[in-house]
Amino acid sequence: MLSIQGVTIGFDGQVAVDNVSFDVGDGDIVVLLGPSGCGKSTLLRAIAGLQPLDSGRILRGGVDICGRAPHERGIGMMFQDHALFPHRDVGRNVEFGLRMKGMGAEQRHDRVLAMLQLVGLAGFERRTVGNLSGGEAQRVALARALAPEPDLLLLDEPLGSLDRELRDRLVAELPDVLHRVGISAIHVTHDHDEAFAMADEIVVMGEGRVLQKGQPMDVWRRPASETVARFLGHRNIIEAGGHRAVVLPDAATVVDPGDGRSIDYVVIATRFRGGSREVEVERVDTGQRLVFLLAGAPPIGDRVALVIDPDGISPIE
Amino acid sequence: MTRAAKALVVVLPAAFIAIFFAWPVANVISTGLADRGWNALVDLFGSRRERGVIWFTIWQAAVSTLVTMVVALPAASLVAAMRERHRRLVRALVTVPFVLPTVVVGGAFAGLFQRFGLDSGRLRLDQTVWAILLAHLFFNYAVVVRTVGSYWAGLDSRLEEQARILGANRWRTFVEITLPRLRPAIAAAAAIVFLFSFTSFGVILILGGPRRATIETDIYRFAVTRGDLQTAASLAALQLVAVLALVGLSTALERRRPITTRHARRASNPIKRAWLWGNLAVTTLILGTPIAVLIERSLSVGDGYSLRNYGALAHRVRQLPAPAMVALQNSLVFAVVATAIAVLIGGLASLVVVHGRRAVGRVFDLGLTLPLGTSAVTIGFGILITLDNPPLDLRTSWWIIPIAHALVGVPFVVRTMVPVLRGIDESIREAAAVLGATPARVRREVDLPIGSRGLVVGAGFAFAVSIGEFGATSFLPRRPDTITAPVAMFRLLSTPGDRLRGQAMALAVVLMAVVAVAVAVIESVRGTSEGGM
Repeated sequence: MLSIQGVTIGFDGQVAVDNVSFDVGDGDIVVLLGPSGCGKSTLLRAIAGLQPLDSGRILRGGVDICGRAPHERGIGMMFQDHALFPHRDVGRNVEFGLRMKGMGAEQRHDRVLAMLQLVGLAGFERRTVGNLSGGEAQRVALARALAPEPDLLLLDEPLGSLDRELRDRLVAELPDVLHRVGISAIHVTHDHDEAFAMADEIVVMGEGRVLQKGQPMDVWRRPASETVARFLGHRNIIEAGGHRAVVLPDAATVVDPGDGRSIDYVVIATRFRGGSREVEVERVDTGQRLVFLLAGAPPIGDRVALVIDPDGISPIE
Repeated sequence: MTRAAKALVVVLPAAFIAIFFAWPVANVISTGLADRGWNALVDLFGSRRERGVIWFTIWQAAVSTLVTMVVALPAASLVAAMRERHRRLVRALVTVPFVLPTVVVGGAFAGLFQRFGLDSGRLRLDQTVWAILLAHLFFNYAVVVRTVGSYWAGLDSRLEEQARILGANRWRTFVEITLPRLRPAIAAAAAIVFLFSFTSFGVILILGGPRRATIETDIYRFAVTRGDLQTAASLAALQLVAVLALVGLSTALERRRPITTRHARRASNPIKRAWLWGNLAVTTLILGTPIAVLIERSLSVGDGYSLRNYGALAHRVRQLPAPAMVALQNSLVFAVVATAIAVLIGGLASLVVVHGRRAVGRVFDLGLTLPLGTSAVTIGFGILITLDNPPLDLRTSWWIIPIAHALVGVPFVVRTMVPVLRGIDESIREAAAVLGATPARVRREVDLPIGSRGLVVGAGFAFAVSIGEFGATSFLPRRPDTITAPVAMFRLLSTPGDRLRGQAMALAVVLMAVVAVAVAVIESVRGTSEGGM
C-alpha cells in the first residue's frame, strides 16, 4: 500500500535520512525502531508531507505522493505529547478532520461518538482537553487521527510520555484497535519491547540508514550486526574463531554435570525480572560471561552445567 | 538577611513610587477635581474644542492600533518562523525604532516628508493625521513583533502540522488553530499599542502641528503655554482614568503565556521562503526608510553633503541655553544616574514581587507598572505642581530630572526581571539548599547570577528610555545644566529655518546611535527568546 524508495533528507548539510527503502503492506503495522536522532521521526514527517525530500520517492498505490500537501494525503498521524488543540474540547478535537472533509454536522456527531466509543472514552465529548490524564489524551489523539478514516496512520512515539503500566496496556490495545479498523500503520519508537509487541514488520534504523528489516522474530533471532544486536538488547555477544556471534538468552538449558556436551559455569549474579530470572554466569575455564533466562534459581556462587543450543547462536558481521 | 535589610527591600521602592509617582499624580487629580469634583471632567465634554480633542485622541489611537496590528502581524509570523539567531537579529533591529526618542521619530518623519516634497502641496503629509499614524506604526511595530512574535515562536507547531494532516489547508489552519491560540498575545500587544498611541506626545506635537491636539498635548498646552493649571489638571485626571482601565486590561491579558514550548524543527519550502523574504522586505522598508532619510537629512547642507550640521552642535544658538553638545552630555549623565536609580529600585521591587508575600507582591507588580502606562506629561506636570514646597522643593533641582526618568525606567526593569526570577526552576534552588546553602546564599549563588541578565536588559531599556524622555522633561527646569538632548532637538525642530533643522537632524542621528548601542547590549545579553518586552 505504501512504498518508500531511496528516501534521503538532509538538514544544514547533514544527512538525517540516508537512502531508506521499505514497504508497508495492507493492514500491516510496521515499526521503525532506532535510537533517538536516527532519523526515524524525520522520515515519518516526510511521509506525512511535513518535510520535503532531497531525493527518493514515496509511492501510494503506485503513485508518487511527494508533490502533495499534508492535507491532500489522507494520512493520519499521532504525535508524542498528543498535540491536542487546547482551545477545543474533546469532541471538537475529534471532529476537526471531519469538518475539514466537509462532512455534515449530524454525521460528524455520530462519527465522533463512535470514535470515542472505539477508544473507550464514551461520554467524554464535552471535556476540556487540559483536564485529561496522559492516557485519556492519548486515546483522544488516536480517535482524532482515526476519525477521518485515513488508510495509513503514522505514530511518532505516541506512548513515549506515558508511565510504564499505561504504556504496557496501550501497547496491547493499540494493535488491536488498528487491526479492527483495518488500517495500515507506521509506528516509530526507540523501545524494543514496544516494537516487538506491536510489529508485523520491523525496520531497524541507525544514523539515518536502514540497518535491518524483517519479521520481529527473525530480526530478534538473527540480528544483522553488532549495532542492531546491542540495540535490540542482546548482551551475549561473543567472539569465536575470529567470528562474532550472538547467543540468545533462551539458548541455555541446565543439565546434570555428567552430561558430555555441557560446559561448566559459575553463577555470579541473578536478577529477578517479574516472572522470569536472569542469571549471569561465568565460564569456568575461559572466564567468558553470558546472561541467560534459566528455569529454577541457582544461587550465586553455585556451579552449573549448561548446554547451549547451536540454533541459539547466530553469527553477526 | 537582617530584619532591617528586609524592611529596606520593601520600603525603598515603595517610598520612591509613593513620593515621586503616587503623590504627584494624586495631586493632579485632586487639583483637577478641586473646584467642581467629577463635574470638572464632565465639563470637559461641554466644550466643543475639548470634545473634539478627546474624540481625536481616541480614534487616532484606535486607528493607529488597527494599522499597526495589520501591518506588523505578518512580521511577527516571520520572527516566529525564524531560527533563533536570525530571530534575535530581527528583534534587535525592530527594537531600535521602539526605543528611539519620540522627538527623533517625529524629526525623522518631518525629514522624510521634506525630502520627498510631502510637506506641502496636494500630497502633503506633514501636519496631517496620516503623519501621526505613520509615525505610530513606525515605533509600535516592535511591540507587536516582539510580543506576538515571541509568543508565536513558543507555540507548539505540531498542532498546525496535526491540523494540516487532518485536512486543513494553510489558511484554514491559521484561522482555526493559530489565530485562536495567539489571541492573548494579540490582545496584549493591541492594548499596549493603543496605550502608547493614546498618550503619544512628541510625535503629535511635531507632526500634528498646532491644529492636531490630543489630550496629552492639550495638558501641555494648558499648563505650559497658557498657564491654566485647572483645565490641565482636569484633562490629566480624565486621561488617567482611561489609562488605568487600559493598564488593568493589558496586565490581565499579559498573564497568559503559552503552555508548551517544545517544537519540532520547522520545515522550509519555497512558498514559506518567499513569504519570509517578502515580509523582510516590507519590514525593512517601513522601518528603514525614515532612518535612512534622517541620516541623509543630517548630512544635507543645501547644495551638497557635509558634516557641517554635526560640527554646528558644538556652538550655541539663540534658541538654546547651551550648545546642543552640552545638552547631549547632560542627557548621557542623566541617563546613567536614572538607570542606576531604576536598577536599584526596580531590582529590589522585583524581589518583592517574586519572593514577597503574595498580596504585597501583587500591589508592587501593579503599582510599578502604572508609571509605564501613565502619560509622561501627567508625571512631569504632577511633579511640577507637587514637589514645590520644602522639605521637598525639587522643582528646580538638578535631581528631579534623573528621578523622573528613573520613574519611567523602573517598570522596564521590573517587567524584565520578574519573568527571569520567576523562570528560575524551584528545583535548582532546592538543589542548592540541599547542598548546604542558606536561603541568603541561595539568593546570591542562584538568583543573582541568573537574574543579573534580566537586570542588564532592564537597565538597557531604562537607559534608552531616559535618553529619549521628552514628555515629563518638557515640564522640568531648562537651564544650561539641565536641558536634555530631546528638548533641545524639539526646540531646534520647531524653529523655522533649514540650518537649525539640519542641526536637529544631526542631533537626532547621534541620539539614535546611542540608543542603538543600548539595544545591541539588551539583545546580546538577553540571549534566548523570552516573551514580553
